[in-house]
Amino acid sequence: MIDMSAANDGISLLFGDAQAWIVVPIGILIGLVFGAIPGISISVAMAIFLPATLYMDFLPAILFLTAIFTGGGFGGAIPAILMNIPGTSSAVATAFDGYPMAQQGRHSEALGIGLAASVIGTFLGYIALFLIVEFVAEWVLRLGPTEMFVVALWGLTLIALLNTGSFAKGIVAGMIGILIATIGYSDAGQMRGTFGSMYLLDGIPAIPALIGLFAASELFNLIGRDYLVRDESLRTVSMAKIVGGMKDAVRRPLEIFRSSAIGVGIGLVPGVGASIANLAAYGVAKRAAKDPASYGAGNPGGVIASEGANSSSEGASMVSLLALGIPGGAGTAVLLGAFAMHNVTGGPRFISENKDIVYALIFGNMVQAVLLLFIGVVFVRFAGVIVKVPLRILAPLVMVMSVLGAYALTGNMVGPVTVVVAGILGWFMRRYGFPVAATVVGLLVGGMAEGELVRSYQVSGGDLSFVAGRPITLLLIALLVLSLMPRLIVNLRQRGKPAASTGDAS
Amino acid sequence: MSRVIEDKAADAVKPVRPIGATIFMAVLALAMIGYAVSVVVAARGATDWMMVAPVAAVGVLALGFAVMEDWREAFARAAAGVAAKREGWKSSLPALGFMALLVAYVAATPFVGFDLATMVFVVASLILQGERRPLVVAGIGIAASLAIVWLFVHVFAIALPTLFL
Repeated sequence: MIDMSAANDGISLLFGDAQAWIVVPIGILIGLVFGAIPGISISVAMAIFLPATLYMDFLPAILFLTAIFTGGGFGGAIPAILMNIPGTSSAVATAFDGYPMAQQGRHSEALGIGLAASVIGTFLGYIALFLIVEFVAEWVLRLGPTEMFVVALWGLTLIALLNTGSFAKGIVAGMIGILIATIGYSDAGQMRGTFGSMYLLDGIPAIPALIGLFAASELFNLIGRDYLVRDESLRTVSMAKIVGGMKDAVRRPLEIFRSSAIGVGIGLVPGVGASIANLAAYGVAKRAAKDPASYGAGNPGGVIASEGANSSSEGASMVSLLALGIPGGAGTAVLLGAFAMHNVTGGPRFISENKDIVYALIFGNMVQAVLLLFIGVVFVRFAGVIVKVPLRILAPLVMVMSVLGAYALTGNMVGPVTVVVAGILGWFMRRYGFPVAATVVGLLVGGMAEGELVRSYQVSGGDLSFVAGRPITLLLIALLVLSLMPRLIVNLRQRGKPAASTGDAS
Repeated sequence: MSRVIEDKAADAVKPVRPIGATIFMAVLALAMIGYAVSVVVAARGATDWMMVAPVAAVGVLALGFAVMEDWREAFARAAAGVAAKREGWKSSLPALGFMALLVAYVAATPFVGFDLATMVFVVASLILQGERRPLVVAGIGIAASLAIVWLFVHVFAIALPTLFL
């Protein structure tokens, strides 16, 4: 399965190219900065710097872009932890526990935990890529629309998990997200809910909507408060606590390994990637925890699950790029653009004819993970100063960055308007006890679920017995049902008992 | 940890009669029904509505349950003599003011550009939140807001509509 001769050639190629090691630290820093700015997604950062790779050799060019990818993967966690604003959609679940930790004055610890989980997750993701790239390239082609629909359904089951308060309100919140995701042109070519506006033909932009639901609604709630962390004595950024958080994460190898495995598994499927991986890993971690009620209230396990999964999915998403020439997500789509700029075509032939380059890329990214550890620890030391800024100053400036970032994403006023409308909706939802996190999950997964449902219907002609002839679908359905069993059993056991908790993951 | 749970619980309003929540949920139900009906009416086949209609139906059904839950909880609290707080719109005035400023900011941007609109929005937000020191208002409101817009326009090369930057 592993061509050791090509692997040796890859190592020689990698360490024989000094240019690669000059651009990689710069790329990581760019990724951290851009990832930490709400609204500027990793793919936007990669696209901005894509032209800079034109005069680089192929290997340094790709390593530079993957360094932005790696840095951005963790950078998104910084505003998620400090301000409840996921810098990227892959850091949505990081905010669920990272932000409550920050409110408790444990921001340094949360940042350290997130960094360590990201570094280890990235490393494990590329190890997985190293081991399975050739085998998986063949297997992924067998996934059809019915299998993808079950994967989407799995994502939607998180709606139930993300709410420990009113189950009905959790369902409502999730349905709102799914319905918002269906606005615009459908896969079947129908125009829906656009009110005749051409700006809505592409639908409601997901990232501005999640910025509004999470960030703007939270900022509205923070107006009138003095500081993000109420206790002055906790408003310090401590390198010792950051390192302590990193040690804490390392002491939980099983949790990191589990979330990384989920990240790899989901990252392998083209079009799914880190946005779903972090939520799925969070759901599994919460389900497996001894104290699931503590998730959403500042449990470090939530940060580990999210960051481990979104980082490991990066390596796995490279499989479809390298093996099939299909970008697994927006970030790998930019990488595909870089391939084209250098007259390189990804796919089975690329792997068979350029194994040394493929292995050099994999090893290069493993080294990037180690570099992220050192660059990231210095970066978070400075980024953490944000808790010392009074909220009356922080709130409008963060709001402005969110609005500008939303405009950058959409290129028109749809982004900022989406932030405002989603923010107001989110504020009312929070006020009346609806978990906005479930809306975000519905928003991110709804479009994919509908697309795959329609394709499944078209392929099967509406005949449900079609599923019986799809063993992978049946296996995935069985796994989905099994994964829901613990929650159902807990619900049945709790029936008749008085409600003990009112917390939710919003 | 307990403080966060308390904060979250405090965020959600639990008044004597959940009238605000009921109105909010009625609006949501109407929006869901309206959207689903518009999709079904314009549909050319099952593929056009097969996701939207069932999801809207589940949403409306769940809203019905949620309204019943809220009222049952309110009656239970009243019966148990638990003190319920008012909906507290007065305490929400700063948040509503900030929302109004944000709406005005986004509405004005296409006409006056991000640079001027951002500056006015940040200055007004600082004043709304009680900041009265001229140096802070001027420094943050003008310098910091313009620096952020400049960063997006000239460093990130994003074509924002601006008046003078």
